[in-house]
Amino acid sequence: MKQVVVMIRRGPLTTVLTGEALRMSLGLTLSDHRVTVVYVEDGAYGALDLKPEQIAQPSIRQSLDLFEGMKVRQVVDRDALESWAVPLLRKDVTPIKRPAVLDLICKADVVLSF
Amino acid sequence: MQIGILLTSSPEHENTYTVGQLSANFLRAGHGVQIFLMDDGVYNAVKNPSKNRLFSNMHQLMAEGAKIYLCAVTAEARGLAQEDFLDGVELSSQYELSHIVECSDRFLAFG
Repeated sequence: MKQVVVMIRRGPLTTVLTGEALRMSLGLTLSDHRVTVVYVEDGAYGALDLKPEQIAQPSIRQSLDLFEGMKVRQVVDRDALESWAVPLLRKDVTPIKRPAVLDLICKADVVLSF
Repeated sequence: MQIGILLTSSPEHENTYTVGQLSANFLRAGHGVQIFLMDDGVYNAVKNPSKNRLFSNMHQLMAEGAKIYLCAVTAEARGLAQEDFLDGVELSSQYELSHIVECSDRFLAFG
């Protein structure tokens, strides 16, 4: 088992890669890795309650619904978000300060950047 | 040492060249290399006889001992099937990626 950080850096609605990163995060739990999804930079907005299917992008709901059962943790770099966005965060995402984000990355065995 | 690599960008991206050169040198140094292609990264393993094709040394890497896997879901979403890919490339799943991560001493992601 390894500590794996999946770092989402891109804005969520300009690419399908956010959904792909979430799907991959779920897949990584199949070998019992401890997976943490970290939303940073423009990717921080991927932690909001979004509905990508409304602009013909793949839904992310299926992956998110399975995260809790598979013990996938989600955190967002609080400093990457504008204040208006904070109340719109999904309840399953924990906002943390940037030093804590860096600490997570430093302690990970594997970091996968999307 | 076992090296795992995730490549999610298409052949037009510089990542393809970087992964190709890194992998070739890892192999020459005696390391094992496993590459997992996902999303547009699957295009790096498509058969393409064009003399104008973009850089890809996946065929040579396999000949030198690298194992190359790709995400069957993202291949299917792009209309690609086993016969579209280089011989020796294995269509696989996210489970295979999780296994590569488990078995690798170092894992690098390019996307």
